[in-house]
Amino acid sequence: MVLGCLLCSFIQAGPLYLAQVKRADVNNKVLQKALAQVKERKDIEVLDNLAVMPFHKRGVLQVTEKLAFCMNCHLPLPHRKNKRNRTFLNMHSLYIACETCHFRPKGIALDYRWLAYSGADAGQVLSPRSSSIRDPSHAVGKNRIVADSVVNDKNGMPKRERKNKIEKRQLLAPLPGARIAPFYDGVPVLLFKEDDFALTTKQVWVDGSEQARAELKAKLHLPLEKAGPACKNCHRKDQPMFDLHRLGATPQRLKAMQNNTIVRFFTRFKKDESRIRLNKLLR
Amino acid sequence: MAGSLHRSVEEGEAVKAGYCLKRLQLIEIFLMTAIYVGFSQIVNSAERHPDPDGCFSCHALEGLDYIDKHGVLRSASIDKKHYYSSLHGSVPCKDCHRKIRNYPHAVENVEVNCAESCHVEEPSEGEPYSHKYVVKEYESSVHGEGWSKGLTGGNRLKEANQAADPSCRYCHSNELYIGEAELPKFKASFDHLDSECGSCHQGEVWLGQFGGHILRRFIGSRWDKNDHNRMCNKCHADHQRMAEVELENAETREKEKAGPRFILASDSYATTLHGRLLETEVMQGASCIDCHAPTGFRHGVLRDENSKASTHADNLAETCAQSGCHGYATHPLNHRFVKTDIHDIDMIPAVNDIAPRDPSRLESSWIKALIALLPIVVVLGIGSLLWHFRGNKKRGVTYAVFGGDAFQEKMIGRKPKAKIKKHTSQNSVVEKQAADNEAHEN
Repeated sequence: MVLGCLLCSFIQAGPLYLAQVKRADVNNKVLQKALAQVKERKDIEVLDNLAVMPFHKRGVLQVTEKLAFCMNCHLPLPHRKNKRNRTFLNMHSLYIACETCHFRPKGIALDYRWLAYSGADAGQVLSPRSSSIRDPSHAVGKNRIVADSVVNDKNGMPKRERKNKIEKRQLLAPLPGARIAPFYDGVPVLLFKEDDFALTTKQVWVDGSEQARAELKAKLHLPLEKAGPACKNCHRKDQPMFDLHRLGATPQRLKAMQNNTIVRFFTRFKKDESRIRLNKLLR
Repeated sequence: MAGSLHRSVEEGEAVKAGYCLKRLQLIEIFLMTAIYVGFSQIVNSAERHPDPDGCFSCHALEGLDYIDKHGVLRSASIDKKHYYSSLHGSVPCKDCHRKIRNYPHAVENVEVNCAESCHVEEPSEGEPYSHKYVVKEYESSVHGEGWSKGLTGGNRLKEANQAADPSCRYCHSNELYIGEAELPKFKASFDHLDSECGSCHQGEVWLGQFGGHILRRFIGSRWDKNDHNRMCNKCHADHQRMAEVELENAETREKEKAGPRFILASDSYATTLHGRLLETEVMQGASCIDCHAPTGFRHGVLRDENSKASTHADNLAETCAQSGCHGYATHPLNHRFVKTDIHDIDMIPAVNDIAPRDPSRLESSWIKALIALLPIVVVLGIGSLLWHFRGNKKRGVTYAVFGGDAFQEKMIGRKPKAKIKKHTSQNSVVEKQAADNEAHEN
């Protein structure tokens, strides 16, 4: 009821996801499952900077100015359970919005574009970079500050590194922290953590009973899919989930993504818990 | 005749042409060889990427992070450029992570044993390189119960919470040959590196790793004495952590909580000349390991009670005399020199929250000196008080209550007290007589 009233006030010309949440019809089975999950839920404190530091040099966790609505409850690195793909999925979450994978409403064609999560344009659509050679400072990985003994030229580019090598190494994002996000009718389908609906929802969660929380959880998750698309849905030539070329991928980059070794290796896994010998990675 | 002459000329020309051809062939072969050798040299000295198992196919990707079940932020990403320029840049991943065969990697297969040998050859002996001798020394040291094997990214929290002694990785990480702080100095010293060495030795990796390895020798050793002290202080300056340490009693063989002297060891060292010299970047001071592990692989810190310890009473003179420091310490007449207490907790203000009134403070030389000097201080104090209140203050001059005439007369050139008194009394008699005479006349 509370959520219903809440939705009515926000739904006017809002994102598609909100409309889907409003239409969500939560049945008892879903509600009971949500209730059980709410009861089991434990807040996790992220531990970093332990007294025993990592042996290998590690980057700094990327933090964008705008955070996804999901981050109200989920950790910044949300994929934790599946040992096989959790790191790879978290890596993708650096340049793909949560909703791109988990919000795929049936019968509705979504458009995928770059959305800024940081900087002056935060929350705005970004044009893909047209130049094939990009300024390395705009690579997403730039947030990982790495001190090295490499001699750089006056533009800050490592000397002697070939242009195509730079291009291959770089990610597509036109700005640091930008993500590929779903759009509907030219409007992003998603919400940010600081949006009014997100803030009000958070308050409902904080003040609400377990039952109210379960209702909220069920309603918010009903339009979403727990499992994202398989790797092959994007990493393939024929009818990929979105047009990478339109998002700024050069032919060379596109080829590298379509023929990805790791994706081919992952297709060999038939069960989640199975382990495969690493030499098959090379086949 | 003419015909034979003509033939011989033709033959001569043919022979000459043959020689020319052969010479050309030789030049060609020489040039080909030179080009081959030249190119092969460039190729041989170009980038060396020790990733025979293809680990970087995945691990070079950035952002391979996750939060584990304990909430610890974990990262599977390895910065490739950093790795190749690091101390372990020549070591293939599987030399340390030996048992990895499958994906996802089983935790037990990722474990690292620092005493294992790797496929890098130790240049002087040509044997597989290993830290096993260092580990052996470390294991026999006071820190020897720390972890040197079974190290994984996942058990850092367990080690931080449970292990009392530092592990290998607690002090050492996979650093660059040239640290970030020293990079500007290095670049300034070797700004010609790229143009001079880079003609043949191409690529960032060479510059970072091999160039760094060789050339950093010119800018000094990788760790200076302050770096050593910082490493020790990571634990030893932490009073709370040190207060939890249990030490074996040499007599009873039972474990006991460490006392204030141990807990405050870092503080007491900081008050010594050694500590203060190093603090002001004067490298003549001795660092912690200069005294506690001066020889071997510098990991063999032992308890003072251990007869092999460099800080054992019998070995202190040798330790102090090492490296041309206090050479006179070994002389029998100077045997008291080594009795100097470098970790005297009385040097630490008693306001310190650790044991401000600990009985061990009473054993300090400072206290003994105070006891010896106290009676003198008391006598002088009383004398000063008497002087102040009872001394003759006439004419703004203060005289001692007892004695001091000779000093007044000879050193200061003032009339001694007795003469002044006499003079004063004579004057008073004369004045009195004059007054009487005057009264009588009236």
